[in-house]
Amino acid sequence: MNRREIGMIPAAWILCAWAAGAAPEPAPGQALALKVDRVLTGTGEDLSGGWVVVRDGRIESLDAKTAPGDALVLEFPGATMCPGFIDPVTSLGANGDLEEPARAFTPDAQAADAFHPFHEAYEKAARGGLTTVGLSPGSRNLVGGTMAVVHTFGDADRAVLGGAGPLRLCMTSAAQLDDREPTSRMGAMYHMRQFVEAGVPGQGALLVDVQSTDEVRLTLDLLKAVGRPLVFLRPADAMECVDLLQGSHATVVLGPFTTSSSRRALRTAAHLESRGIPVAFTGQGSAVQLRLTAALAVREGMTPAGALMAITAAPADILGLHGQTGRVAAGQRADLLVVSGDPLDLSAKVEAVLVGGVLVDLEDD
Amino acid sequence: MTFALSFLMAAALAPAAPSGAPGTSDPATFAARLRTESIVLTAKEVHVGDGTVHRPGTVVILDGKVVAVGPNPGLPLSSRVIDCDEFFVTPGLVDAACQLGTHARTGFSEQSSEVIAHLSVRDSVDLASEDLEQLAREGVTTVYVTPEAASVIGSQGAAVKTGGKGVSRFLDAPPSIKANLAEESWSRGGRNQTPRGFGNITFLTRRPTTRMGSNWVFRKAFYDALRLRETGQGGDSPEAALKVLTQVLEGQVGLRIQARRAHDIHAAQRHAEEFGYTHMIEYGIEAHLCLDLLAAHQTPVIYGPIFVRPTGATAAERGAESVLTTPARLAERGIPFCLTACDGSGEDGLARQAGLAMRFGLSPEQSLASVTSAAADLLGIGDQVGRLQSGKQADLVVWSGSPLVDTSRPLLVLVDGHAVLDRNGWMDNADKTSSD
Repeated sequence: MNRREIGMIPAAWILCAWAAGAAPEPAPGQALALKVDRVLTGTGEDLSGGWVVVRDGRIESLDAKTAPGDALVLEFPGATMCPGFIDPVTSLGANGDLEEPARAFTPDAQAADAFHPFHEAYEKAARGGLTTVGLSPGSRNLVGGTMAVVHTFGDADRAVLGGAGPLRLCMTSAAQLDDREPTSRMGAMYHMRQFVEAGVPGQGALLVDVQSTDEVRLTLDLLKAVGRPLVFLRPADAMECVDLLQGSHATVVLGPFTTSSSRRALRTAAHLESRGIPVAFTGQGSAVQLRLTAALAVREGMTPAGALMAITAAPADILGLHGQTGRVAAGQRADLLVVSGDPLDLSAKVEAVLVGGVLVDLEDD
Repeated sequence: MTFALSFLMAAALAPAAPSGAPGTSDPATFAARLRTESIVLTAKEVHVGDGTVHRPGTVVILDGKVVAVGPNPGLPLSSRVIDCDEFFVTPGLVDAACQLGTHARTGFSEQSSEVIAHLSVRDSVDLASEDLEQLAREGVTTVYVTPEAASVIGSQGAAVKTGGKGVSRFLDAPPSIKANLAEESWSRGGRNQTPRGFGNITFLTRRPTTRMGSNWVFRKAFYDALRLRETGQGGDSPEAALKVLTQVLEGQVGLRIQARRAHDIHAAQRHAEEFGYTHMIEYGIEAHLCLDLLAAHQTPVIYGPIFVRPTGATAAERGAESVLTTPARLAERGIPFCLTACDGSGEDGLARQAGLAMRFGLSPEQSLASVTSAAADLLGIGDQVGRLQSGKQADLVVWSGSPLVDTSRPLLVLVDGHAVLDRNGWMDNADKTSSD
């Protein structure tokens, strides 16, 4: 048989096995070659499909004309590939272990200690195309602790960056409790200033819960000089303080949006995008929520490329994963999603999910 | 025209020339900028805020500051001119004990201690608050947001512009804390009972429940401050708060004591003699029963609010006509005072407070001063606001009639030279009438 026929036979076998529900696995060192009609890189580029070659957990190339001879081949006619989704702030599978409000400041607490790798929530997330999440301490502390960055699929030790992600802070009244100091914003600000003066630990971004415009202003007064990337979590008044946000060079996390969200809330994403403010979405750990959030944002004016970036490249950057994942690019981790149509179209079906180059079993039993 | 130019040159070269006006070193440039960029407002009456009134008057504004105020000699060429020749101009009003402008009406104080002198209301101010917008529309351009009375020794207050586009709307005012010796500090949390669901002992059951208790907390805090200063050892209160109290004793931080009842005013004075601090009385509704005491010690009083028909929890103490005539009597006895509308509930705010004072015997000039220059002076920001004078910030109100009278309303309100209210579109039209 000629080389092409040899290549075809394993492919036919793979597709049959695929139909039977088993996830094929390449041997160590063996490439996995995926053929799709369209590749959305996550940073705005829309490449017409070819072969995407994955080897040893990484994207080897995007522009191969044919599959490498030894590759395991998967073809998805008519499908689109995009980066696996990333949700920057979740409490996925934590069973309440991320809320520790006994003291207002717990900067050394680590969300990684609340990571339950075998929780079914991770499998579900992975099947939906959510490949990486930020696991965050809750908002009932002024400084809740260090976030963990975890992939939704893989071994038990799959927390990235040694468990040390961004620092989570909260400037809203959620961190001001009735029976624990501080009970008020003035008390919170006083203690936050002491904390900042003593030196903010770690190196990652600072993720801050804010709600109103004055909370945004106070956060900037407090943290701008620290010189770490700043991320605002769900500012309800974002539309009112766009100038402040623009000047701050911070990223804004919005969502999740649902069908009950107001049009004004939905338009916030488009408005921030038009002012050049980086936007990321959170779906509270649900892949479908992320897709819906992005779709609703597009409905109210955000660009489709921007909305896709908000659930892939932008959250990757927040979690300190720039260059590692969040984009379909040679050299990056093979965290990929193949969808039968546009990824923001909820009627499109998830055809394949790769996390670190490993195919996720899409059957839920 | 020559006279006008010389008038402005004089302003440019005067020793009291505004520190903020650029180009004063170069009179030619300054005059040129006056010609092209200043706002000139002419009015039937311009009240400076300290009793001086120009009839008619002109105010010249450049870069958010007042450059010149005086009788109307004629206009420089080509400035933006606002013709208010039928109307009356006053400085923007100043409320020295405002309880509006924070992100929550009540409950913004820190509850974890009765002594929170180290904290600041500045962190609770909501610059986007609708209350501040409303105050601006009523002609109140500067407020000192005073802490809630929920703490025995409360936090520091904050002087804020109610609107405008200043670089920072917060003013640089001498720091000052507030204390309260009466009921409010123990009525939070349902009369010192632990809120439901929290069990028996929380830090909330430590509160005093009586005047004797509040006064004890107050004095103990100052004793602890003295002990900290002398031995380095503190007491129950946060050490940072005690350090602020030390500064109060040394006169670097002001102290205002909310004391509506006469016996609270007396208690404040007793403690002042015990510890040697100087203080002001906030609200002081029963000041008419303590005139000798206040006069003897020249204790400033931030007085009000007064109502012709008072309602609410403190109606009884506010009912008598003696309360309404108090501003006139404070003036008569030479006691430094200003008026406040507090949270404006019940009636129309600070202008009306001054109007009521006038109705019940205070002279018109002093009534206006009591909500402008006197308030600014008591706050220690009299060099910035409260008077329409060269070098001060351009905060002013154009009234449709005689100011502080019920039939008049603000038509134009400027803060730092920007309009926060402009019913007749004067500022836009002024731009159109300017030529090169």
